Amino acid sequence: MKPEQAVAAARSSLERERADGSYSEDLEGWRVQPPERPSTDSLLEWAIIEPDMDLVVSTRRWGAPISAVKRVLVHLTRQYTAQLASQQTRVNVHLMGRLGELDERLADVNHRLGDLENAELGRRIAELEGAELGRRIADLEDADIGRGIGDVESPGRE
Amino acid sequence: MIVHQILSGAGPVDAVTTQAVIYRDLFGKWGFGGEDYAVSIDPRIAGRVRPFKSFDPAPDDVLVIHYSAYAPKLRGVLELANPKLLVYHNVTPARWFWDYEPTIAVHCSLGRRQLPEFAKGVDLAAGVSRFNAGELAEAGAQRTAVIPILFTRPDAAAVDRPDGPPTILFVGRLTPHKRQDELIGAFSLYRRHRQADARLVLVGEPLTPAYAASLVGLADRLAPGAVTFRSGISREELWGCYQEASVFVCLSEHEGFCIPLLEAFHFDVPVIARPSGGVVEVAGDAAIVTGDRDLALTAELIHLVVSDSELREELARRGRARLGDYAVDEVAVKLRAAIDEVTRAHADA
Repeated sequence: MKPEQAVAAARSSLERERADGSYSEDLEGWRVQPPERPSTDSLLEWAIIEPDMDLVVSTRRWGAPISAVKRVLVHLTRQYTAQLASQQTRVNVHLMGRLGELDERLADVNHRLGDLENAELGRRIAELEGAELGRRIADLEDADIGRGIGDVESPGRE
Repeated sequence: MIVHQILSGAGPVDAVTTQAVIYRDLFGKWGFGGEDYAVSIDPRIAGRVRPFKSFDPAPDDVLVIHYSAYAPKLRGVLELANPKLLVYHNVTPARWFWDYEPTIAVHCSLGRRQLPEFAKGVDLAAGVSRFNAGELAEAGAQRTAVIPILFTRPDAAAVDRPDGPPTILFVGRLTPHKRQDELIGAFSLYRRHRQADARLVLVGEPLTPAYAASLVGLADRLAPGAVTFRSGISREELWGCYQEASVFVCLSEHEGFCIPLLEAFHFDVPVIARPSGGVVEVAGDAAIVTGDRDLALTAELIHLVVSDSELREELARRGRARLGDYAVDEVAVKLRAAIDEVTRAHADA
């Protein structure tokens, strides 16, 4: 077999196999599913950088002095860390704002698309109904004409 | 002539660095001087590549910029008046990474957004495939060229496949766009309906441990014990994988070039592939290429290739012929022509 014939041959073979009941697996769940994305509410919550000072502790035995030193260090570097947190918060909040805007615009576009699709659907139904009505009228007319012709051809039938 | 190469990162097994090293060898043969620079350098290759901060070219030195990732520190190079050749190795679209590794997704997104700046800022923009050159043209490059990957033949030969169950092989990073998950699905169908003892070997470094675990979990569920994942292997071990393979299957959704196709051709391994990115032009008529997404069809194609010796031999013959188009001498002519064009265009300007 030539390589150019391979796909067609495989397709024919697959059709035969499927006709015999093979390859009938439901492939749902046969691919790696991406992990669940964080919700918008979670993202909003995470956007504001607020380090929890209660977590600045040492978990070692006799760690109280280490906790005290850590807190002093946090206090001494607060000018730098506060600036860092505020810069990051500013970026996050603006990004969340943009995301919110995009979400709203997407909802609006989807809504308008739905309206357009409904209008298009209505128009098509009207067209079909019109065509159906026209067909029935034509049928009736044909029937009337036929009866009329029949009447003419066999006037003495009654 | 002095030709410098600039890379965003350099490492011992990185494909772009490998190309830069082969380029440098050619430059040496042509009597060109120059150095290779990178922003970040793996210590294992520190002897061959110099830190970018020491980059200080003379005005007429030709600059070859390898572009494969977001490279903010290389922007300054575009402002230099030197003759410049861009070699674009492609950047994977970010959409494949957002759900798994957002930081990489951001870098890919920035890498593709920054591409027009580089494409317009050089004298000649070259892609390693027509597909890549097309992206450069879309990005606004005035002059484009194709300089295919310089493929150096593996230092091992094709051998008669050992007896035993068929082995399906794919080589490429374990990432969402390479679709190893779909290959595992197709392989599972092949095992269920055609060859119960078949094996699948997936070679490549994982994007993240979590993504690798997802693939391993899928393999354990669909084809328990039949899928082998291999990473961090040597060249010799990789060649061994090709020598044992019955068929190479690539269901990747995005490939700028796909070097493993050429490696499969070298080892006479028949190839089944999806027509994504540069795959079609690299494969030519030497592979069975189909965009049909039905995994059962892929399973039937694997069966066909494994069971039809005439088909396998024809694919192997065409694969060997295909390698001729990527011979170093053939591609070197294109690289040399591109450098000459850059210097000529720069002189004319």
